[in-house]
Amino acid sequence: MNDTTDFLDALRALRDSGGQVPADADAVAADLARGHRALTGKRRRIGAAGFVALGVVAATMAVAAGPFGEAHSSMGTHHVAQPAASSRAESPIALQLASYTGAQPAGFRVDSIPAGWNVTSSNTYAFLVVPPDAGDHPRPWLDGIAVTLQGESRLPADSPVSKVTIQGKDGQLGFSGGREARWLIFPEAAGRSVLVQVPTKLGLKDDQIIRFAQGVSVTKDARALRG
Amino acid sequence: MKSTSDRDRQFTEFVSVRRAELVRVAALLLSGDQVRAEDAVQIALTRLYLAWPKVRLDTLDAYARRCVVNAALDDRRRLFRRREQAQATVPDVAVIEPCYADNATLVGLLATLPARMRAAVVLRYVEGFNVAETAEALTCSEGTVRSQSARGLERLRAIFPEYADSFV
Repeated sequence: MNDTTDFLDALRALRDSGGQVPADADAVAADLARGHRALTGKRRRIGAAGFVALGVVAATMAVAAGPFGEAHSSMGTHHVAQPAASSRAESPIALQLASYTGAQPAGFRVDSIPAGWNVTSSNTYAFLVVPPDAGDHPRPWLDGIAVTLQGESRLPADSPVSKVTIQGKDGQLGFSGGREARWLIFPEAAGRSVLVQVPTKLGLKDDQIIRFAQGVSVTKDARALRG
Repeated sequence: MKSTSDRDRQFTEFVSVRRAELVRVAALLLSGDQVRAEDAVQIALTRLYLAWPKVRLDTLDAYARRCVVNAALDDRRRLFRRREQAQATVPDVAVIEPCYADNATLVGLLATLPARMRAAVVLRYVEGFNVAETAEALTCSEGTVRSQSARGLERLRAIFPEYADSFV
């Protein structure tokens, strides 16, 4: 046997250095469990992205203290249909705004949030708050109020739109696609558009959403979500 | 469309048969480091599970290999970023004896090659893949495989001049 054969045979022999036996059952089960977790996470991300793509951005900041439901309206002349009936929509919640003293999000500034609500996320992309009954595993994009930059979200052509005034500038209040959420879009000082998303099922009135948005401001660090 | 139960059953069967082999390949790609090899295979199998509905059964082996190669190469990049540290003294470097009498020596020899070059050599000369299969696993052209594997062997020849004839 010459050297060439010896060396290449030695390399090939590495194939027999292990890996010929069936895998340990526990290891296989762990691989499957990791796959399940990854699949669940992927589906959750896709779901969240889809919801954002619909235009759902939500809200949080609000403004002046006082009953959310008793705020004055700075609405324009167009009438905006109220959310479809739901358990909550049938009896609009009378949220009280409370001064927000927690850490301010990197991208947004919030004067107040609904009393008793919980902030679940505050970063450069979104400020999210959920109601106290959201449970141990809240779905802020579905159940709470979100504030983001508008990004690529646009009010659907078939959405009724009301002209509103937010912080002295013209804004638009309408619905996301499928009318799953109310969208309030208004420009901030630097010219970017802010999107406040409120799930329709919460049943908030237009003036509640408007008052909520009056206390929202954006920092230079805010970034738009894609979709 | 495969149901989740079908996916789980097929995935379990595949992993039961192929897992140890994939760990062995990953270890060769990662200079014999069994811990990093296990990590790479776990990552690769997770990616495989996610892609399962889109992978044809007759290409499962090739797809799994590609996942392992990618995970191993990604692992090397991650480790470089995470572990690169300035040292006050020159670290000891293992000296490879001019002998390939045992697997550890051979793995040490392969470890002297750059990652992608090592992958080309391992897939072609250890695993016995042809050029096309190696190119598919490395996601590169067949020409790149030929050049990388040839250069890899040249380097090995430089380390082991007494076996120069082996690499012609």
